[in-house]
Amino acid sequence: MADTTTNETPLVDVRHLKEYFPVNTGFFKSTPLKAVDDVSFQIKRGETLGLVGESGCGKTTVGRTILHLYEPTDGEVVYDGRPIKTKEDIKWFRTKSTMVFQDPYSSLNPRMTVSDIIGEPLDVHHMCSNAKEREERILKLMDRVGLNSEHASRYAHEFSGGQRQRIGIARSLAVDPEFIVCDEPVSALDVSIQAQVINMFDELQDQMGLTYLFIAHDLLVVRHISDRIAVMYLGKMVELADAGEIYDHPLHPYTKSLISAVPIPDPKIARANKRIPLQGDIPSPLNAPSGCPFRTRCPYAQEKCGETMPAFDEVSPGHFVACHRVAEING
Amino acid sequence: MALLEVKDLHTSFFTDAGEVKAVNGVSFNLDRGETLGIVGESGSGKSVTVYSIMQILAPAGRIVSGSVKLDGQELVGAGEKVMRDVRGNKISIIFQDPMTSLNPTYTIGDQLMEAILLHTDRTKQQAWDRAVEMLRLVNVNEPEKRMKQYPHEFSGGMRQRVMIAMALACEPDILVADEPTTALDVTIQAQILELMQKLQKELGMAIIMITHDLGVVAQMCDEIVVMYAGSYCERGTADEIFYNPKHEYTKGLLRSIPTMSTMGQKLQPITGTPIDLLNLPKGCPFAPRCEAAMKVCIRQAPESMVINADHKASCWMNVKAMAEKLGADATSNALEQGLSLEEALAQGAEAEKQGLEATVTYVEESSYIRDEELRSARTQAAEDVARSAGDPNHPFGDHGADLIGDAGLMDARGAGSRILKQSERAASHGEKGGEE
Ligand SMILES: Nc1ncnc2c1ncn2[C@@H]1O[C@H](COP(=O)(O)OP(=O)(O)OP(=O)(O)O)[C@@H](O)[C@H]1O
Ligand SMILES: Nc1ncnc2c1ncn2[C@@H]1O[C@H](COP(=O)(O)OP(=O)(O)O)[C@@H](O)[C@H]1O
Ligand code: SF4
Ligand code: SF4
Ligand SMILES: [Mg+2]
Ligand SMILES: [Mg+2]
Repeated sequence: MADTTTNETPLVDVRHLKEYFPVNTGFFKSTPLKAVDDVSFQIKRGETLGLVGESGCGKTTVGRTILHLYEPTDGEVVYDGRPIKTKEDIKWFRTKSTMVFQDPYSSLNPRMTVSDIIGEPLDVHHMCSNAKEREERILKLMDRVGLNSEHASRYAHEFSGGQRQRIGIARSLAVDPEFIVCDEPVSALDVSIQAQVINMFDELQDQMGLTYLFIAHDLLVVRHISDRIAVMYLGKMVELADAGEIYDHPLHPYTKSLISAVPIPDPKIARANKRIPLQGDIPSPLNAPSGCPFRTRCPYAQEKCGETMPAFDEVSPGHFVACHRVAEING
Repeated sequence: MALLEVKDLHTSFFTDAGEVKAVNGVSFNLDRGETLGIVGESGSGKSVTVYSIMQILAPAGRIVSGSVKLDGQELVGAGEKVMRDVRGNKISIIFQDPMTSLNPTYTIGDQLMEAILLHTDRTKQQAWDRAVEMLRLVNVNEPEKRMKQYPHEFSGGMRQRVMIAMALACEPDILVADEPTTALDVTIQAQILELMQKLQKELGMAIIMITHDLGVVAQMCDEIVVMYAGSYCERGTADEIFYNPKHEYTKGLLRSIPTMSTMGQKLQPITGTPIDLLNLPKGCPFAPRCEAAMKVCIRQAPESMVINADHKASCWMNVKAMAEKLGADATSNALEQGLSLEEALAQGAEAEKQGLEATVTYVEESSYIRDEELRSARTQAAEDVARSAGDPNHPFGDHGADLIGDAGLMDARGAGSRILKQSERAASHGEKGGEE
């Protein structure tokens, strides 16, 4: 199995993770939808791993399955050396990990005050011995994310998108997590607000030593915040490398195309940019192609690509690619 | 004459909570074959601007004042008959969300044919052929088969391409695209943008591209209008806006986005929260969030100023920069004349202060600057600057008015600076003359 970190013990070790959803495809017929299909990677303590790929490729499912919000169909997650298997393991893991969601509008209950929202996980995990401690913790969390203490008794709907995302993050931090799955946490925010929230993620990581799995479709945001970046296609991981490396030297044909498509906010670069257009649409995960999942759109596809799924190999130190022809294409 | 000329457009929504001034004085021109980008944060009035042009505003909305000319014809007040023709044959729009703009209960073919039959004189068979042709044009594979499918059988990218096909069915002069790719993946977005560029070349239409994505703008647009709180901050060529921004909001926006080179650095966010249109501040709408804001910004909205032939901006900083330049000019002139560094700096500082004050004081006092008043303001400003250089008797009056003419405020400042130099030269001649 590919070990995607060097030397150190990873904080999060994802091994051959699979998540299949049963989908009705006719009378009494059910076909597994392979949302995540044999994915392995590691995340170091204090690191940010970016996760990118087209809509529906399985990013959210990877995040939720790691956290055991979905029961994995197969494979395992080892957290800080402890395999997450039993109910006890999961309960323990929940005190170490949490998730931040995309939509700051729908993920907060509008009828709860800010202090109730942030306090809820404290109550669920019995983390405070009395009301005073509870209040202190809530105010400290609000301070962490740059919210005013006067905001505590106000309702979520009274806040702007950026502020709501702060409330959501304060709530996530309540359990004092080490590991956070951030699922498109800035996508719903206006550009001018995005930068505030991105900086906050940065600062919280510095202060609290947090480890992030950062899912986003804006590749410039991901590049900005991530140490390493993983690229998914149709439930499979196709490339993983340092953030700079993957932009400067993408090796997988899909990654090359993806990165060439990023609109660069600089007219001269944007005009000179040679895009590598992708033909057709992403296939339905219900009938994914045999062999390499990308072969129906890959300009380099050959017969062997339809026969076997290419292995996720380390082609240069820390750079992993799943492509039969990686050497020829980049030779 | 430009294809589309929008001048000082004001649109409001009259709601129970009060008048929402969604668009406050937007102006731009659009030529054939050109792509204009409208950028700004959500709620800044981008959509309402184009809905006003097409007159498809929600019932509470009304164009309050301003002019929209298409091929020289005034559209404001032209009546519904004219507008129906405009919308059918001259300006088409692609909306942000393709799912809500396609009817889920009709086939793609039915919807395309309906659009074609509505806007052109074709038989059903001809409309069918045309629809198939349009689908092929936007790279939908197996178009004959696709005609019989329903929207839910299409992916997001395909639905958006169908919307483009539908918008192009009437061969418009102007294609308005309101955030056409916001909901799409980057690879699909690249496909759609490239398709729009290709069709533009083939059909020669103009495009108005509304987006909050500066990357999309950089790739697509010749000209850019930046909006904030319904007002326009600046407009100019893409290169001017990106490489020479002259409004603090645009500068802040460009600083706040991650780029290829911000990795490992802190972004510089725009602070504060977005504007509340029901409570617009009196001066510059961006002042509450602007780190460079000066007193004048809070009291008086900045006028649009000419930066250069390709660029206009509404920000007091440009006046300040001009005053600073006057100061620097005065300093270097004084040095050239052999004054001590201390004296030269003092003279420069005085010229700068006077230049700024002269402009600002006047502008503060007038509620709305009419041309006549503006002219005398400029004369007054130039006068003060010249005086500050130590030559109160310089006969610049007539000369100054000539120089100032009808040009923009910046020209006036430039004139002020020239007058200043002249007066300095005159002064130094005088000194030299005395020595000789
Ligand atoms: N609960 C579920 N039941 C059935 N199918 C599901 C379920 N959740 C996700 N899927 C399917 O699994 C695949 C991966 O979904 P996922 O939400 O992980 O994608 P994603 O990469 O996060 O996409 P996006 O960028 O749109 O958020 C998709 O085909 C999706 O339709
Ligand atoms: N039907 C309406 N009634 C009242 N206000 C509206 C209506 N439509 C738009 N507005 C207001 O006009 C302003 C500009 O909106 P819009 O042009 O849609 O912004 P955007 O720049 O995001 O496209 C916003 O403050 C919005 O709330
Ligand atoms: S394995 Fe084959 S089809 Fe897949 S990416 Fe490589 S060349 Fe393309
Ligand atoms: S006019 Fe003043 S407040 Fe407005 S953007 Fe310019 S400097 Fe800032
Ligand atoms: Mg998702
Ligand atoms: Mg809009």
